[in-house]
Amino acid sequence: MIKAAAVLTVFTGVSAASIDRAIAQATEIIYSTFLDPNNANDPRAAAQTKMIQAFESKHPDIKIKLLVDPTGATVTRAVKSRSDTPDVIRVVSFGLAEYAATGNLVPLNDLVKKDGISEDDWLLPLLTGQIDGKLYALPQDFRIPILTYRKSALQEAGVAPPKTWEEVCAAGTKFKQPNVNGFAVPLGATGGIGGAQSLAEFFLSTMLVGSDGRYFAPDGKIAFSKENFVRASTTIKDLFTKCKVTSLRSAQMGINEVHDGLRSGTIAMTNYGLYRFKTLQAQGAGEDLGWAPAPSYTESDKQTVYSYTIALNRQSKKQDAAWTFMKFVISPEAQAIAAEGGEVVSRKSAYTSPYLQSDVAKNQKQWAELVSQRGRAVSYSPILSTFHTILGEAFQRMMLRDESPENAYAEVVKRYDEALTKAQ
Amino acid sequence: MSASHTQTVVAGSEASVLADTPATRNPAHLSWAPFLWFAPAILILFLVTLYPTVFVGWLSFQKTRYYDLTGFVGLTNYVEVFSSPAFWNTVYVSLVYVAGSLAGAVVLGMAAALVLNNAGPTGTVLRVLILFPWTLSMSVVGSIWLWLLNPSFGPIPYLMQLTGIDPGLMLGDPGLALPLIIVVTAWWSFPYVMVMATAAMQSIPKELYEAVEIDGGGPLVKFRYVTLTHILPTLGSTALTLSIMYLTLMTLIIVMTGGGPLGSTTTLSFEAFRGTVQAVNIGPTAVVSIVVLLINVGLGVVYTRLTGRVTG
Repeated sequence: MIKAAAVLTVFTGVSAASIDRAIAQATEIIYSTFLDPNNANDPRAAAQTKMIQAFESKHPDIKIKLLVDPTGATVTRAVKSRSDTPDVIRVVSFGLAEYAATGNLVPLNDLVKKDGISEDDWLLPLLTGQIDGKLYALPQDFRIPILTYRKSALQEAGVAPPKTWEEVCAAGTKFKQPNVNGFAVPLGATGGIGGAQSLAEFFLSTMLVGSDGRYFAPDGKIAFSKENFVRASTTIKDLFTKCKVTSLRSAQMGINEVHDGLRSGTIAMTNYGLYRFKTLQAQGAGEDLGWAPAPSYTESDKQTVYSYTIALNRQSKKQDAAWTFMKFVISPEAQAIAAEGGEVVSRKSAYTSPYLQSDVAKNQKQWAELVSQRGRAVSYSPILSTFHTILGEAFQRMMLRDESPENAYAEVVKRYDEALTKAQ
Repeated sequence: MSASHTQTVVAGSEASVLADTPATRNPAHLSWAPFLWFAPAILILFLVTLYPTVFVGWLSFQKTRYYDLTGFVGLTNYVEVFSSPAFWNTVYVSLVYVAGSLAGAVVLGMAAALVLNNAGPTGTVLRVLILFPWTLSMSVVGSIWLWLLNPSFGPIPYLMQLTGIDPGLMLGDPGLALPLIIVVTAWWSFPYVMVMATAAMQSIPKELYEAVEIDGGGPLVKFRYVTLTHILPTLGSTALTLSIMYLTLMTLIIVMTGGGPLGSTTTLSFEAFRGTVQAVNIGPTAVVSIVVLLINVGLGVVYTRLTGRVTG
């Protein structure tokens, strides 16, 4: 009996010492990302793995564990339920207000100041991404909508890449090919939580904002004007009806259906995410895929850009290690690695890296210039996914039930205000 | 008389056996032992089923800020949900979806089972092939059908065009989206009905069919009075299992329509999912979940009774 107790005591002591040593050896940080490291077809995932390896070799005391969450639903639940993981959260900037409203993100202003992180070495000034005067996340990349088109389809129709909405409309009668959607405007709810994300991301977040730069107020209320909404919805409705450049089949399209349409050539052109350009080329569009700045009301209009950002979980028990990792992720060194995956990385100084100076990265450099010249960050709603659902249904009703833009505006404002009141 | 005597003897011998056990000599031990043995199972059941259910019930009477409870609001959430026309539209969509999918799956499954039941080795091979859709995950099924039904490049609209039929907007048409989702759900789940019906058919004694033949009955009479009579309880419990599954199914809808167009494919479960992810106050969403739960409990009661009939 005494022997057994002694053996048990020694065993427990050895185990505890081993555990202590293991803990002392490495702090594990959980980093949420939509990029699956096992996806060999996505160069962004490979770049992410390479970047993490570079961090771990520099900081052997910190290990990074990935929480792969392609839809973001798991992380959303975690943040809303005050979970202490993930420690570092990768979140799209238009979803940031929704996360910040939970009170579970650490404001980074003091940390940025303390560590002397430059506020200007970014394609757009760092502080433009603040919410109500607080910086909740650091941008990893910038994304601006671009006109993505099939060169052969435009050539066959005798259409040059349009620069304005008027030119898009004028192209309508020139597309004669059956089953080819001249200019897709996706109104559908698939491919994201909340629906009509493509419509909002590639079209309305710019069109509704207009020249005054106001999308949502800090208190979450709608800040865009009725005039801008009616103008935007009239423009889109005209593309479907008067201009006949957009097929009604767009009404159910989400981001993935547009992707498939561009791949297969059944969509001649549309506003789309530059982050899918390389993938589209690799998946069949090849050199037939072209891009140009997205059409707007005038050729020099600002376009709304957004970022994938990294934020620090307020409930994390390893905030120091998490912040060390975050600083590395937005360092020019790590950004140069991330650029190899095709992203338009956010730090200006990363663009001097050998990769970004090469011909392979020509598009990325041009997109970065486009972001710097015509990009603009806006404030988003704390209930953005609900707003997208409402917006999508109002636009679908306008197209499928022939509602007027004024009625669509009234519906959006009424339903959104009700939802915001309930949320508050 | 003799049967009654036997029962008395058995009852008497059971009583004498019980009287001899230590448990009967110690009433306290008798009452706690079963609970002790079942404690791990009861604990797991409580943690994974009962606690979440009770919590959702409690949540339906609360106001929340995300997942934090901020105050008891009584029946406010119930009033809000039940007075919303959108909720009743969702109930209608759910019922149509469940009934439509079930009708499709049962008819197709029964037809497949009847045709393949007497097809010998060919039937066995075909049954394995037909089982294929059932083995696929819902997201894969949704992606396949999204491509098949794509009005721009999908094979089905293409074939429709070749035969002079305008495919229209397919899943983009508010009047067509739900029927198409029903067709896909039936396609995915009919193999399950086929398997269950086949298993029930193969347990029917051949003598019954021979008896019908001797009495001059044809195939219809055999089907009506032998096959159907024997497989009906199995078919009933299968249908109820599927109903419960359809009512809680949402992956297909997320992938294929996202609940649209214009809410035409928004079912109760999809709404509960969307509410949990989107809403700040998830109290009303908990009410929707409770409605789904109550419907499922009702179906479960019927299911238990039907399976009781099967097992006697």
